[in-house]
This record gives sequence, structure tokens and C-alpha cells, in this order.
Amino acid sequence: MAILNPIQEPDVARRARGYWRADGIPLLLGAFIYSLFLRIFCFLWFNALRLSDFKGNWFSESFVGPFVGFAIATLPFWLLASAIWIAGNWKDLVEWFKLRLTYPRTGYVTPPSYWPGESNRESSDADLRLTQTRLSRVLNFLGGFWFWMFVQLWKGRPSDWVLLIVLLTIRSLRYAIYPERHTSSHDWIPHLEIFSRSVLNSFWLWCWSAGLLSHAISGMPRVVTWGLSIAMTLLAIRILYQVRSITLLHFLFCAVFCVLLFWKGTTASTTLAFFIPGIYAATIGTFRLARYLRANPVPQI
Amino acid sequence: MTPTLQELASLDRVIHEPARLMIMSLLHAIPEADFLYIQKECGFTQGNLSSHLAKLEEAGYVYINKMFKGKYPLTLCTLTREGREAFEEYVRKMRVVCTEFPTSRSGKN
Repeated sequence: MAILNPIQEPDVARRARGYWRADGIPLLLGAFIYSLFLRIFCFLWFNALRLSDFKGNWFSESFVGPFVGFAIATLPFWLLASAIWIAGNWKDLVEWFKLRLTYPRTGYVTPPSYWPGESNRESSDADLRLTQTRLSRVLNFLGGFWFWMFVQLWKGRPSDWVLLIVLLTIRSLRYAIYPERHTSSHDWIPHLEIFSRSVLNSFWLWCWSAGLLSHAISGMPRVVTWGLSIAMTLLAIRILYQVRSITLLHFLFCAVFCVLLFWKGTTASTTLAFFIPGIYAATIGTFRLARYLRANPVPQI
Repeated sequence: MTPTLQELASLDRVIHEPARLMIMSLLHAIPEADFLYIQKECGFTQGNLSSHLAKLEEAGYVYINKMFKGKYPLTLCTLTREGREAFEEYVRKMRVVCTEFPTSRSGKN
């Protein structure tokens, strides 16, 4: 009987933990957020629709033009605002869909993030997450942006190798600062393994390898950079309890900055960087939802 | 009678019934579950689950909270502190018995 084993998690608990994702709804919502970013990037990349396109057309000039032009000009901001709102209310939105689709079919279980002792479970992985106190959560969240701030504050244009060295240095410092999340082993191999995994999990490493950071210096005024940093800190405090569990949100914040950074130089690779995870999440989510709905018809009472 | 066998006699009969043992095992592993979820996981009929939950509630092992989440009615079941302690005690006793009588000895000679 699996329940009797004190070391391993019981099978029933594993099933209940997986229940939150079993219907594919969280993945589909994540895919939708990615699709919003994809639309922003597509808009910036193609840069095809401009106010000038409406010249020579009396109808658009006289009536439609200003409205359409305004809508197009502000479209990225609306998409961005929608994505941030959805990401901020992610848990509530997932619950809203689950109430209509999942719970009438297979019942309700407390979501894993509300389970007692869940923060300890999350902090035990190698993703360098610190979840003990409020301050440490915020610091940990901001830790993901130290590198971005360095890139922004660097005068001139750092070479790719400088960026990589700085990225590794910051990762090493974070590894050294938060010793409680590491293996207690004195052997260096487990440490190296955990560190390597945390580097590979770094969003910025992938940005660097895709060549996206070479364009990072876009001439954005410093005041905007600092303003964003402060806004980000406040937002991190505001959504304190969600930062812990939603890694997706971390990526979304990175995406927000990418939108702003690459405003003038959005490339196909930037678009692709958000297209691939979006398509992946949508495909897996749709497959799971279809399988779930087929396997669990609404019970007739 | 050996002390180990005497342990068997002192097992909690409310928990010892297989259906209720399933419910207790499930609720011990997760903080809170809906009636429908327990029914699906354990493979009970509605009436069967209702009667077993009523017995567990009567013994003070399970707390049943009827509420609404949006328009969806929820019957949330949670293990009480007494229930958790009783289940852990039951598991401890069973483990002693299982250690004393490993399955390999019960084969044909």
C-alpha cells in the first residue's frame, strides 16, 4: 500500500497534485498569454500597417483613419496590458474555467499551491528559488532581472562573451548567496550538476544564445529603465503569493522587457522565441483537454 | 496471545473497514477533496460514499463542509485532527503486524 511509505509521496497525493493540470486548462491559458505576446511581436516585426497606408483614401482619411490609426498605434500596449492582467489573475481564471468544465465532471481538490508545506517542496528543486519569507521571495524574483539591469546600464555595447561571463558570474553569486537550497553534500560534483542545471534553466542564457541580447542596447533612456525596475519591484510585491508558483509569470516579465527593448529592432528570432513555447503549450493543452472531456462526461443525476 | 496479535484486536474498527480506509487514506494524503472527487478516485456509488462519510463524520474523523464555489455546489471533506491521529495510529499498528508476519511466510510448505 503506497500510503504507508513515509519516504515517498503517496500515489493518491501525486494524482491530486497532477489534477490541477490534468484537464490542460492551465496550459491553454498560458498558451493564450504567449499568443498575446506573439501578436505584439508580429505587429512590431511586420510593421506593415501604418497611418501612411491610409493616405489617398478619403473614407479612411476623413473617418476611419484616425480611429484605426489610433487603434493600431496603441494595439501593442493593449495586448501587453491584457497579457499582464491575465498573468496576474492566472489562478482565478484557471479556477473560472475549471468551475465550468472540470469540477462538475470529476470534482474539486485543493490546488497544489494551497497545500501545507508546498513552499518547502518547491524550494527543494534546482531552480534556485527561495520561498521562505516575503522579502526573500521578492529578492529571488528580482534576481532573475539582475542580468537585464546590467545590460541596460552598460555603457556602449558589450560583446557576447562579456555578456556570457557576466551571466555566469551572476548565477554563481546567486548560487553562493542562497546556500539553503543546495545539496548538503561536500562533494563538488552534485554542486556542479545543480549549478549547470540552473544555468541551463536561465531565460537569459537562451536569449543570449539566440543572439537577442546583442541588440539589447536600444538607446532607451535611463529614466525609463529605472522606472521599469521600480514598477517591476512594486508589482513583485503586489503579486507576492503568485510569484512563488508561476514560473510562467517570470517569463512574461522578461517578454515585457523584450517588447520594450526590441521596439525598433524586433526580429523573426524574437517572434519565434515566443511562438515555439506558445504552440507547444497550446498543442499539449488542447490534447489534454480533448482527452479529459472524452474520458469524463458530465454525470447524469 | 502475542503482543503483536493483540495489536490487531485494538485496531480502530471505524477505519478498518476497506471503503472507509480508502477514504481516510485519500484524505490523509490531500488537504481537502470534493465528494465527487472521492467518489471517482475510490470508485464508490453516491449512496455508498454518503453512508461511509456519515460514519466517519459521526466518529469525528472527517469534517464535511457543504458550500458553493460560484454556482457549483461543493461538499468538501477534510480530515480532522482526531481523524489524522487515528489514521496514523492505525497505520503504525498495521505496520507492526505486517513486519511481524511477512508475506513470504504465509506461502505453502
